[in-house]
Amino acid sequence: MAKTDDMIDDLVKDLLPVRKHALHRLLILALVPGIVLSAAFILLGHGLRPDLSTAVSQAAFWAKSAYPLLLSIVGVVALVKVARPGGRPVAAAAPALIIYSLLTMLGLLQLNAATSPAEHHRLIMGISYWFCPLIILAAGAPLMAATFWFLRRAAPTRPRLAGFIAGGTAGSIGSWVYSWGCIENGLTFVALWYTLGILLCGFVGAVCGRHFLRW
Amino acid sequence: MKQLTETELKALMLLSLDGDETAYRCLLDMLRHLLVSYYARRLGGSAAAHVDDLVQDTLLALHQRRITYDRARPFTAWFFTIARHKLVDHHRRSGGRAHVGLEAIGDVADDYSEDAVAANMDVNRLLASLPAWQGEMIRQVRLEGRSVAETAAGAGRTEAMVKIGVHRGIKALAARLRGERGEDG
Repeated sequence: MAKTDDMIDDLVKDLLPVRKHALHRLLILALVPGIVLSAAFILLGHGLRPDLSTAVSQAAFWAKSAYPLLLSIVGVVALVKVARPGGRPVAAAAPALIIYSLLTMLGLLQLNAATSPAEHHRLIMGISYWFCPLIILAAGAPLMAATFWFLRRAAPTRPRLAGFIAGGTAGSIGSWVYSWGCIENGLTFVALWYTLGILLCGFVGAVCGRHFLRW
Repeated sequence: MKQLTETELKALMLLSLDGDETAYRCLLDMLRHLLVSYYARRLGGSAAAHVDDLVQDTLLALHQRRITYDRARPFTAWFFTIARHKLVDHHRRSGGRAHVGLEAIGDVADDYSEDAVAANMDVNRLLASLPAWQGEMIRQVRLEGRSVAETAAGAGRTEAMVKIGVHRGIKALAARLRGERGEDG
């Protein structure tokens, strides 16, 4: 009991005011350097796509970039939710599915418009399908460090779920960064291989969550 | 001890978040007493040393993770979710004892869930104090809502025996409860 008295004394001495929306600030503080590192990795290690100036006038480029960006927004909201004790980000599932369905629908329209079997194949497999998920994993790594740094200062009570969301969000932001370097135009390609990369990040996050998010 | 309300505790928490040391000390003192009874009930008499550890752990977690408290939401719900998290963690580390209670602890998440869980655990504890077959009859007939005939068929007894079992069991429980209350006050 005396030890508890001492501890309460220490805690009171250590008290600092907490600003409103401090949790959101902490997340931004974590994400900004994460995005900078991820962008540096893509710029220096991969480079912007060579035809960027023509790509920005194509709808497919913007659809490809919007998909991970929208997923990132859903992910960040879910991340704040799961960072609080007892937080269950169930509300994130529906928007994530809707975003994915929209992308798949656009991808199918794009496939329908394809004129040759070669183009068809290019829209699905591209020329980079085998390393696309790996690049996303690498581009997501600094962001995963950021989201875990954030969660370790918060209070997630479901370590695996929190890890999955941290990883998936990091992967989504990482693939948005990569979408500026990736040369593919196929939305089916994005729906398959970007999503695989993001899920891979989520899986790594879930495994890490079991170890790093216990408190 | 005086009954603490959500309103009072939340007011203290909001002051503490603004850096009011007096309010914070008051809050920690009140929560400490709440936690002692919360953990003592759930761990049983043999684990008094663990209770202190858990109380300290939980107060420390409140301090280190107070950034996750959302000012627009109830304070006790937030706080007891942390307390429950520490209890689950304690059970896991001490080898998964008392698993039965854990699922119930995980499921409930509203303001006054601590009491609901406690009531549930108390019922189980009381039933365990009866002869096994009487406890089982009460569980089936009164808690699970089966018919006397069904229960009798399942247990291979006559309906009259089931009725008598439930009746005697409940009388014994009532006597026990009166006894417990007598001891307390």
